[in-house]
Amino acid sequence: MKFLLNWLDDRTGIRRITHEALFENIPGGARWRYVWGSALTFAILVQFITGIILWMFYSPSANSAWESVYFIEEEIAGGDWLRGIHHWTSQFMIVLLVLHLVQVVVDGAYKAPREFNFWFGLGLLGLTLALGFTGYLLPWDQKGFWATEVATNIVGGTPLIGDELKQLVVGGSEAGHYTLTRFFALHAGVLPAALIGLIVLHIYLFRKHGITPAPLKSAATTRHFWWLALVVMFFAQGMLAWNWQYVSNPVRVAVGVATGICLLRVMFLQLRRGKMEDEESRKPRPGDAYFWPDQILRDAIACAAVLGAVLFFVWNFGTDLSAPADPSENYSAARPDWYYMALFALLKKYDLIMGAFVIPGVVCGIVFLMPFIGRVTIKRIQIGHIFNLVFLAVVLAGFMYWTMVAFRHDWGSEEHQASVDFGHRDAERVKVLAKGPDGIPPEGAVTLLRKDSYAQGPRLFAKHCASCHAYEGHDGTGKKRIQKRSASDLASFPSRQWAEGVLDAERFAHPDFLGSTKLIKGSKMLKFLKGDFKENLEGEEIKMIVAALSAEAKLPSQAEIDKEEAELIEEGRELMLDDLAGACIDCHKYRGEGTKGIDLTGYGSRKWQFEFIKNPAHPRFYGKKNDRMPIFGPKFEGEGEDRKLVRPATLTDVEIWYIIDWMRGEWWKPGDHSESVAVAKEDPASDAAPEEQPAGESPGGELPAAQPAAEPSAGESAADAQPGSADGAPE
Amino acid sequence: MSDPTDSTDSPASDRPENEKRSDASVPEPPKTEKLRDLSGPVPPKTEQLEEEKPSTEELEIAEELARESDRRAFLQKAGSVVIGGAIVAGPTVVAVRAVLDPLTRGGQGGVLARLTSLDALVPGAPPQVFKVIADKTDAWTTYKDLPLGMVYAQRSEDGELTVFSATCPHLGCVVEFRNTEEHGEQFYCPCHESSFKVDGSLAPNNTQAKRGLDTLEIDQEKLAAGEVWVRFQKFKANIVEKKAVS
Repeated sequence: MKFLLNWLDDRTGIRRITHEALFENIPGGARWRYVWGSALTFAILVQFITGIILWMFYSPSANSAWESVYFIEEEIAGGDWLRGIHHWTSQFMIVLLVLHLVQVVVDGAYKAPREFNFWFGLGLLGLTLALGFTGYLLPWDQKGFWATEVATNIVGGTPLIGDELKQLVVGGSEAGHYTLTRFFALHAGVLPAALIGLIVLHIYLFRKHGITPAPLKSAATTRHFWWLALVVMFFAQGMLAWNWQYVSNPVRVAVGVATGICLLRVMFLQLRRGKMEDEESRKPRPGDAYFWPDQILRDAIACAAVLGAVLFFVWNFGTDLSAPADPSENYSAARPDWYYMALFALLKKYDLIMGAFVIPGVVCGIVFLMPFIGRVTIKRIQIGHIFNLVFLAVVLAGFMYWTMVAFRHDWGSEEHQASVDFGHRDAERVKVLAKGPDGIPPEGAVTLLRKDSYAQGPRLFAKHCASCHAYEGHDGTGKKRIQKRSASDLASFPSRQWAEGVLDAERFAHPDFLGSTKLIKGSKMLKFLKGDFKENLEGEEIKMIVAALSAEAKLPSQAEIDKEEAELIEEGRELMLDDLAGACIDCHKYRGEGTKGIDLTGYGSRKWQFEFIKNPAHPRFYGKKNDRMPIFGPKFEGEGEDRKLVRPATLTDVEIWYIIDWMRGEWWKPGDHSESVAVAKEDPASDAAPEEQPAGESPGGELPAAQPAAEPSAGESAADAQPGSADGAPE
Repeated sequence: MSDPTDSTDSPASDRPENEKRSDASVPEPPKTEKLRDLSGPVPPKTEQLEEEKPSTEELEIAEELARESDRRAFLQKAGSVVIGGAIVAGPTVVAVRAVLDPLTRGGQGGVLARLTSLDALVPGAPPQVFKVIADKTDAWTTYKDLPLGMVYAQRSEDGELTVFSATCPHLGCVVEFRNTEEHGEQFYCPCHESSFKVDGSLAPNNTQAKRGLDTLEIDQEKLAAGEVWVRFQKFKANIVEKKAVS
């Protein structure tokens, strides 16, 4: 063994190197305050290792980046932990860097001759922020895409060279493949190489100059430290009180406990001050120590704490991956990573030049000049050093304040929360679809959401239906509706809950049902519900009719209960057909009986809805009494030979199916045994053209035979109800 | 290098020959001076030698030797710099050219895309959002019918059509159309709260945007035929003028 070591040492001088590395002198003994550098080195090592392994799985192009990250997150063994550790360690690196900076400034370690080391440290902070910025885009998800869209436009706002700079960063005039390849080259190549270079210089200079002897550990310095901690905790308490309603209980408790500990510690130290100083004066001063093992133990514990915190966050929060980037889908929840939120708030408060260049520039400039400012001494008072300390405290407090301002706005905004929720909904859905029978196509996962009823239904509802209708009070996507409601809330349509509503006079007249339409004025139905219907039928019989009417829809969510209560439904049907009891057929078409009014055969079924949306003014539905429900299919005029198209459809067949399947809860689900998740497969009649096709097909075209068609009322639609021209009074 | 008359080029092994020819090379002090100047901070060895060696013959030899080594040093340095520069510059030029390539790929004036038919837009109705769907080439991939972005189309009461890009002229997020009690119907950007009136101009509560929403060019020929086609393109963010960048 010894021979081998000698052999190696003769050729490499390894003993001397190891000795130098391990037996670095630490004046005044090992201290907890010296751990930051080691903790950061550890964090960077973790980033390099996890980063390189992620690299083995990552594919930087606009139609494979999200997909490869998804695969890391969902399929690769341990991939979620790998990505989680890389993500959360980067967050902690920012915190550690700031703590390191604070420690360096407090201990005066930035002063001559250590200026260069201070600047290298600042450079490392800058590189880390740049790594965070470039890494944010790499998953090519909505969050990263839109945040980078803003960020690159800020780059474009750089005075003089903005346009060219932006083009170079983006790799062209618009974000795409080359944005990713460039960001990846920066993130995995240029920036880490620069980081290694600066770290080598940083550690070399640190070893050259040695540790800056902090004020010797004494009762006084310990007391000062705890006082400072208490002040920081009071600041945190202030922030907590300010944002009390947005903060979760664990955080409230944690801040409270931490403040309590600091308070007790300060009281204890303050009370025993005399005694401790007395004891200290009798003890010998602590001698120097070596890096190994005194300091290394503390460093190792600090690194373990960092790792523990990272693992806790990975385990507890996971790592976000929003829906694949789509320039044609707005993502209102777009925000930068938390450490850029203060800048984000400044940008909102001031203009671009002020918020993104002047304020951060001045702050960075002053921090850069700290070694020179720190020299200024007037009458033995280190006025420069004090300025630096105060300035740093103000910057950090300002940073926290502006960060909170940005978060408070979002926490308090229902609109923003709705966007965040809808964003999560997409993110979850696309992962479900990616695992579906179709998998991820070569064009990328972004196409999955574009062909999915669960994703497209609410969007189409918001665009085409929500100007009159509501869905659980909102526009389908969770946002507030724009115009005054003039039609029913369709969330419960056509369930039993809905059927109960339309058969109850009070609820029928409620704005959630027909109360907000013009049809309600002098409505025959309302009169009937108030009068004969109530008098003729018992509660149990109304229940039967409700069950029978709703069963026409064949809702998947009611399949079980419909089957169980088949008898009840059958009795209800008989009541509906009875022109004395239910009396529905007096004013409605139902199962071959009745000649006028809305067709109740297959009421609310997939096919019924499809034809209704295509042409609500068809005699089978509202006919001439149609209020303002637009004809979403192609609009015709004239009859027979003269029939001609006056306007193509505003919704394609596929789009109508998306809306219906979403409202009926018939989107593809992991348990389904269908061969494809796409709706088009169920409906051979419609093609997947994304916008309306000017086809002259009849409103009751070929449909998937989900329901036995009551009457194939193909296209003699002469009724073209003009929007807003409906006659309120039924005959 | 092989020219025998130029003593500065002689190889090191020819020293005795140089000594003989020393007289011939002496009357060229300006040249030596010049060379010395060029060769940078060469210590004035000849002067030191003059002080230390009193013998004139020895002095001359030493002077010549010094001059000779000066020239050699200069050539070595110059050679290193030239060759070194060349080997650095070659790859650098190639690298810089490639890195700067995106600068040569400016905008192509956007793309023409069909939104809808004119009849589908009700005069006086709130602006309706449309996805712009067109072919697009992104580096090596050519997409067919790709949704590229969003626009708002609306017709005034008298039927006049306006199409706005939904891209916020502040920093490029997507504006939404919303209705609040405080401000009524507005275009609103959820990123930095820029706000625009229904007609696209800056609203009184606008915080950031420097110009109104960007109108897109409508194809008039197709419009006459009842079809709405627009030229979809991006404009430079955060400036007062509307300047196309794609």
